Amino acid sequence: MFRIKVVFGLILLAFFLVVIRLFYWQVLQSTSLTQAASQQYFHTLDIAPLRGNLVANDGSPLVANKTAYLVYAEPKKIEKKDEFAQRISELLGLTKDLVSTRISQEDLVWVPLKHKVDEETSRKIKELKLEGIGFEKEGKRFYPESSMAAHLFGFVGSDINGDDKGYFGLEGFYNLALRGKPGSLVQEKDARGLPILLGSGRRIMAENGQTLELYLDRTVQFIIENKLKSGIEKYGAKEGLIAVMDPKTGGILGAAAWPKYDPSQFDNYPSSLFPNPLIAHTYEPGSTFKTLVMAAALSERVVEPSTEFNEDGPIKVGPYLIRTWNNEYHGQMTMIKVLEKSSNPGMVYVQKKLGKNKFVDYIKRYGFGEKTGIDLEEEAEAQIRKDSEWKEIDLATASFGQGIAVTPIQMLRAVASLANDGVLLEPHVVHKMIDASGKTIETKPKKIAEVLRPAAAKTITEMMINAVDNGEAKWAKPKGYRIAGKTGTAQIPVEGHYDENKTIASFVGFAPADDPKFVMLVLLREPTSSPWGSETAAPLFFSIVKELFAYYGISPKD
Amino acid sequence: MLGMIVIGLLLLQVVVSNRLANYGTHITQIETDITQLTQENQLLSEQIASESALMAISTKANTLGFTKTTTPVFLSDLPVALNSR
Repeated sequence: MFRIKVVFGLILLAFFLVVIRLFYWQVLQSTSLTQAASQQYFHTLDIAPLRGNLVANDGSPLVANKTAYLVYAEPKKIEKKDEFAQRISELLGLTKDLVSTRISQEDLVWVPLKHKVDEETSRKIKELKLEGIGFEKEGKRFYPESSMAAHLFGFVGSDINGDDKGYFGLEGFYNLALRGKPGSLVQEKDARGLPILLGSGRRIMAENGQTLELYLDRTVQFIIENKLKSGIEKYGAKEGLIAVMDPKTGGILGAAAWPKYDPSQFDNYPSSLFPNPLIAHTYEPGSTFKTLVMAAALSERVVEPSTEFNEDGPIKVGPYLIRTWNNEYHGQMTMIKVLEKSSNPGMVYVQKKLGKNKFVDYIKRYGFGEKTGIDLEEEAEAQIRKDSEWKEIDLATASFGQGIAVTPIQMLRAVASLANDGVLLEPHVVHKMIDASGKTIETKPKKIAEVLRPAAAKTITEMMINAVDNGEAKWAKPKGYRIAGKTGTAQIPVEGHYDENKTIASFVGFAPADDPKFVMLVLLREPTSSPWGSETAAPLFFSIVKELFAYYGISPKD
Repeated sequence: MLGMIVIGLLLLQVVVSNRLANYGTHITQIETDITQLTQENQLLSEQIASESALMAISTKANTLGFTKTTTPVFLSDLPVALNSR
C-alpha cells in the first residue's frame, strides 16, 4: 500500500512539474517565443521614404537624393582585424584606430562604421571582398548645382536618433513635409526564405516626402552668385548679400550670400556660417531707408515732390548736429533733390513734417519690428524701440536709416511695396508643394497691408528714378532704362559708437520702373576699395541688372 | 455526385495552392528587378541633373570657347515686313 502511495505521489509530482513547465513556456515565455517564431516565418522590412526634392521654377532639380550606404562591420566574422582596419579606414576616410576599436567589440553582432558612403566608395569596398563587411542602403542629399543657394536650402544632418533631419533654410522649415513617412513590409516566408503568397502579411507603403517647387529662378541665382563673388573680390568686402524678389508675388527669385558653405560637407564649416544673413542678420539700412520715409510723407500728403527745404547747413536736433554725408550743403532744394542728393538734414525735415506718431506707425506698417513670415527657419526678429522710447534724436537719425536695425528681407520687402502700388506682401521661397500622388498646394501671394496710397507709390518711384539718373552712381546705370533705386552707406555700430572706417554699402531698387519685374537688394559689408555704396554696391547692382535685362529680354523701350 | 464535386474542388485547391506557392520565386525575382530598375532610374536622374546643371553647362560652354554677349542689341522701329504678322 505504501509503495502504491509513493508511485502515485511521484506521478502527481511529475504531473505537477509538467504543469509548471507548461506554464513557464506558454505563459511566461509566450511573448518571446512568439517573436522568435515570427522571426523564423515572417520577413520584416522597413521601407524608408525618399526625402522630397527642391526644384527651381522651371522644374530643374536643385536638391535631390542619391543612393548612399551605411557601411557596417560584423566583428565575429572578421579574422584578420588589423588588415581589415587598415584597408577599410583608408577607403572610408576614418582613422585606423577608430575602425580597430569598433571591430574589437566581439560581443556585438554588427557595428556601424560610416553613414552616407557614396556609390563609388562602396563599390571599391565591395571589390576588396572582405569578410565581415556589410552595406545598408540609405538616402543622401545630392546638389546638382553644387553649393548654389546653400543658405536658402539649408542642409540635412542627423537628429539624436541618427535619423535624417533638416537644419536651417528650407530643409529646416519644411522638414516635416520633406521627410515623408516610413513604411514597412511584413511577409510570411517559406524554409528557403521566399514569400508565401497564401500566407499572412501586410505592406504599408512608404510615403515619400513632398517636392517643393520654388519661386527661385536658377538663372537669376546663377547670375547673382557669380556677380557677388566677383563683387566681393573687386571691392574687397568682408561679407556680401544679394537678394532678388518678384514685387508682385513676394516670391524670392534668388538669394546669394558670401561667405557660403557647401551643404554636402557642412561639417567642415563653422556653424556661424549656417544662418542665412538675408533673414538672420540685422544691419542699419542707411540712406536706402530714406525712400520709405519719403514715400510715407508723400502718402500722408505732408510733402509734395516740389516742396522746398533750405539746406543751409547742419540741422540741430537737441544737442546734436545732423550733417550731410560729405558736409556739403545745397541751399534751397525740392524733395526730389533731397532724395537725389541723399540729404540727411532734408530727411530730418521730412520726418518732422510727418510727426512722431505717423513716422513710428509707418515703420510698423512697412513690417519692421516683426518677422516677415518668410518660409525659412532661422528668421530673426529685428526689434524696434517701444513707442514711448523714441526720443527726438532717434526719430531724426531713423529718418536717414541710422539707429534702426532691420533684416535685409524686411528692407527688400518694404521697398517691394513701393514697386507694388504700396501693397506689402509676405515673402515666400516655396511656390508649390507637390506630394507623391501629384496633389499640389500652391502658395498664393499673401497681402499683409496697403502701406501707401498707389499714387504715392508712383511718385516715389519717379523720385527714385531721378535719384538713379542724377545721383552719385549714374555712371554705372545701363543707358535707356528706367530704374528706380537708392544707394545707402551706413556706419556699423561697434560697442555703442559708430566705427568711422567700417560701413555697410548697399543699393536697393527695382526695374523696369513702370512695370517692375524684380526688386533687388545688394549689400556689401566693410568694402575696402571705397566705403560708399555709390562706388561699390551700386555698380554691382547695375552690372546684375544688365544681365537680368538680357535674360528677361527687357529692352530699353520696356 | 456531391462527393465528386468536393473531391474535384479539393484537387483544384491543391493544384492552385501548389502553383501559388511556386510563385514566391517569381515575386522575389520581380521585386529584385524593381529594386534594380529603381536604382538605375535613380542613377540616371542623378546623371541628368548633374549634366543639366548650370554650373556644368557654363563650364562646358567656356571650354568650347563660348563667350557671354556683353550687350544685347534690341531692334526698334522694325521695317514693316518684320513688324507685320
